[in-house]
Amino acid sequence: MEGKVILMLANNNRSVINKLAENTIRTNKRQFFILFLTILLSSFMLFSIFTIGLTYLDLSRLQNTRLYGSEYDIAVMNGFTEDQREILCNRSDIKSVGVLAYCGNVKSSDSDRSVNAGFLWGDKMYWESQKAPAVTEMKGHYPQTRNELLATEEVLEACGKSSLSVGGCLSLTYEDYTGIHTTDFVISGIWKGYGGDKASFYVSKDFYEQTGYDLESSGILQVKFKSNYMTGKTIEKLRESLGLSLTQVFQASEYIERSLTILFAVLGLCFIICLSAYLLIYNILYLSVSGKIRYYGLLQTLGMTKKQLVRFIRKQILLVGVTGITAGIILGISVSLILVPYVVKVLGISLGNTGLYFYPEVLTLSILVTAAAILCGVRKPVHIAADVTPVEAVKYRGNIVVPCARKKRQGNLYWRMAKDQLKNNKKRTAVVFLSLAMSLIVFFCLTTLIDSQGRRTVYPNYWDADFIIHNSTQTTEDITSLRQAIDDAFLSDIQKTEGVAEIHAVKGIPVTFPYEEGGFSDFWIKGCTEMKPYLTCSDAVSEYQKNPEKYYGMIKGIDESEFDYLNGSLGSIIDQQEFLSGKTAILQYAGFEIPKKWIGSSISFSTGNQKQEIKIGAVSYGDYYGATVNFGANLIVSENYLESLTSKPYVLSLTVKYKQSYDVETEKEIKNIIEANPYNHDLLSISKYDDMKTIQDSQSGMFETGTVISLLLLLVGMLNYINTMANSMQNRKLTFSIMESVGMSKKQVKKLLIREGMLYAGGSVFITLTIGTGITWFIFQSMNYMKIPFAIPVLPLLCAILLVMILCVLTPIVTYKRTVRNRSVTERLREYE
Amino acid sequence: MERVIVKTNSLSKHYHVGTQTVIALDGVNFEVKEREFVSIIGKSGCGKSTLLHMIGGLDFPTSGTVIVDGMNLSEMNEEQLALFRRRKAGFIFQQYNLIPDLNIYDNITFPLELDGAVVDKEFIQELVETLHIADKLEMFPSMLSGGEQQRAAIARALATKPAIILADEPTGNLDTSASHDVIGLLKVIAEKYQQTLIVITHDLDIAQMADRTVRLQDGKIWKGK
Ligand SMILES: Nc1ncnc2c1ncn2[C@@H]1O[C@H](COP(=O)(O)OP(=O)(O)OP(=O)(O)O)[C@@H](O)[C@H]1O
Ligand SMILES: [Mg+2]
Repeated sequence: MEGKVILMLANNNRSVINKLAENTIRTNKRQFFILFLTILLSSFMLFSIFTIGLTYLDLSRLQNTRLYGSEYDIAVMNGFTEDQREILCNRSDIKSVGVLAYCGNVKSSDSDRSVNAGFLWGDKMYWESQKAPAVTEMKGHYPQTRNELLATEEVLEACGKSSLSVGGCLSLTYEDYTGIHTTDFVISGIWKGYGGDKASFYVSKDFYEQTGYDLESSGILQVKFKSNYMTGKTIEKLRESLGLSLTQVFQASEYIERSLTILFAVLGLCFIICLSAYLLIYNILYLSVSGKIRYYGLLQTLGMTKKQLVRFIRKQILLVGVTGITAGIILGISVSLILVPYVVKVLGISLGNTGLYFYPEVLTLSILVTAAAILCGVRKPVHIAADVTPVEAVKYRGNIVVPCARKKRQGNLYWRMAKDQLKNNKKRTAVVFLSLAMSLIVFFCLTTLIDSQGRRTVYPNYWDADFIIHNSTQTTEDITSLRQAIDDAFLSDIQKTEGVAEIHAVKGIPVTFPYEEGGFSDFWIKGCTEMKPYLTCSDAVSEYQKNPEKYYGMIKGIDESEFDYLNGSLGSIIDQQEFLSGKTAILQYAGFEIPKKWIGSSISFSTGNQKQEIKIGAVSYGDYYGATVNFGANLIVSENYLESLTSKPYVLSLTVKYKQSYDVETEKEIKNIIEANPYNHDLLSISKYDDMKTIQDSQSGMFETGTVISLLLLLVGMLNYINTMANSMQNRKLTFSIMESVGMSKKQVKKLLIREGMLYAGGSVFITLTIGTGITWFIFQSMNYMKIPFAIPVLPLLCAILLVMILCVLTPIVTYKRTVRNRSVTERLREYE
Repeated sequence: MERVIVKTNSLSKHYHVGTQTVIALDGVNFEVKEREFVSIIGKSGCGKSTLLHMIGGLDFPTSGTVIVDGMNLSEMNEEQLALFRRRKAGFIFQQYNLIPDLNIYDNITFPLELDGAVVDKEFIQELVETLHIADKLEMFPSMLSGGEQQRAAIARALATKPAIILADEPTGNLDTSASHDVIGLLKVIAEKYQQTLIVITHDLDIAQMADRTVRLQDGKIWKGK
């Protein structure tokens, strides 16, 4: 009987508590609204930042894919064996193994006598899986039969056939392992997209098999892992397991090599975000429960048991928590999955096949972290509330401040009080610093990365020039084909262009190397025939003896500063004086290796009528002075020496430096001048600006998501601050009323609040500029592929800092005004009676 | 004859609570002369505190004027009122109203610091010793007993040597002998620094100690027998 009564009572209590909980929430609207907002903001922040962050990672992977032309983590080059391929295919951690092979180069077409384009063949896995992310548009199909070609607009233009479309025909003269052929082809497809293979045709398997190349000596294996993150160890083990031969090259992509660094950076960021969400919730919960200790004490004096009180508080928090999390997630979904893609679409940015995805893990994680923060955050204040005796509770006025030893009393009153505020509320201060600094740091970091993205990933060309023009009137066999395409008028036009800082021309003339049994020319022609297996050695030698000018080379002059640069890259092995006076030359060739024995020996050459001799000081395998089309060697000599050989050297290439890198106007001007040149089809331009644009194109969407994340974080950080300040103002109302009652004027209150705001801003900015710079530097360097100097985008950072400062100062003042609401001091004091 | 330092002219204060109007003060004409010690008595809710708040420049009257030391408080803006409170009036509240995040010493000297005035350390020392809180200066208000807090609040009101001391039941938490001591002290200090003293009290003994006693009833000065 008694048991029943108790049971009934307990049941009754529960409904009483439910009612009480709802009522308290209703009457303490402001307090609970702040708590609700905190929970909402936290779950929103977690959800949207993780969603956008994951998308950002996907996009940066996509950018990498586009930059390299296909999706792979490891490439095995210079051929591979069937066994090696087997090993890779059998591994469970590998997603795809694709095959790519070079199989010839186009020399001319029926519309252009000098074409530079390659033939490539890729297998089904390569083309359909690895290449696909870098292809944005595909008309037609991959070549099936021997005479079909897959082209890009670029390669068609290079062949002088830009009007061709799918189904069109063209005749190409190309060289493969078996010889030089001229064949009619049909365009089976045209693709648009990214990568360095846009100056190539893709061919069918049938075609590949008849070119004489084989996969064992020249094929490329491309490997893509299932996971996006790989340790260096795994990669090294994989390398060892393949048993590579000496000539094979095993190359991991920059991305996979850095993947762990990136993963740790991302995890670190996740941790900071979770921590700040936790601190935020904990702090606000703590304040809102302890702020009502008096009320809870009253409930206890009225006969509520401890257990009931705990259940009562939990109930309130649960109600607010569930609604807060739900609202936050809904907001997160609508912002990151609906609003952001919409904005991106309106701005006309194609996200390719990677949009913003819904990641269920992110949803779970956000809910878990928020819920955990609430559960942990509620434990301590609940115990305080429950353990406090009713009498103590009635006396309770805010957090008990532990008195510290009286310090020397000096300095401005307001500064002192403001500092005390920050010192006495360490948790609040930590939350504010953390959330503001975190937003600023992420903003800092992302803007730095985005700002430098182009420059970090653009390949620096020779001498970091802004524009390079190569004279490509030359053909391989015809020594007389070279034209003065870059003449004096053209040079002075470029020189006179507004925005051009300096120009530099490399000049040269064709030379022949007369045949000498066992001499340099003998070695040279034999080396060449090895690369062209369709030529027999004796045929080639007799052909050379007859027509040495068919195998002509070039002699190119450089000035002192260029010599220093080139010599430096070779390890400064050449005596400057000897070079400048024309005693030594640098042999340059990008083909086969030249044995050491030729270094130091003299070789003879002739320029038309005169026969000369010069010593080879060193060999350079770079191709700084334009692509080499001639069979013969290139000799790099001093400018003066070149001029002593001929009065009218040809300008082979022109390097232009702008006053301002990436200057659009200058760029346009120069392109116009080139357009007006009668040889414009045979002028090859390399523009740093265009390279940078290509990279920017390849990262479409990345810039935008990056900006969205950083702005979102900035916003969340600021909302956190506003929320924390609103809460703290709620708790300090009484203090301000008392201060005013003893004669503090509103102006003085504002002075105090401004200083507090300045301290918050100053602290966060300080953390941003110290730790933030460190973090940014670290992340920047870990992605600094091109080793460019670390540069901070000052303007956006200054704007963000200014924004945060203004916000920091204004928020306390505005919230103070809102709590005062025109009421007199006595009215405000009475609230606490 | 001494100068009139406080003068109210048909002073009224109405509070609007929902549709109801509470008339806390109803046309009060009240005068206090310089250096006079006046006690105000009356039933709870009769408007004592309200009257004192008006004189202390803590609230605006609904109608009528308050003139203190030649200044018309009803014509002053908030800034000027704050200055007035800081320099002219020392207020001792019914609830001690100490600033929770400042220690007792800082609480006492706070109005002086607001003015940027030099703190007269000897005077403060004398004050806290007389009020028996010299050993509590480092502590924070939440650690003090009710009576100690009240005495600290008194010290704060006196620290600026205001022309007029307004005390709203300053001895509510003290036992009889302590109450008498505190009022005695207030009186001594007021005399020493030629201050005017207005004290609200429920304690008729304390009211007796004043030069004059004013009784309030329903927001009016009681002019009974
Ligand atoms: N802010 C306010 N809003 C509404 N009514 C108020 C307000 N302040 C005072 N009152 C009312 O004005 C009347 C006078 O209040 P006051 O505080 O002056 O009384 P009191 O004489 O000091 O009483 P006690 O001796 O209990 O302190 C009371 O009826 C009170 O309810
Ligand atoms: Mg009162």
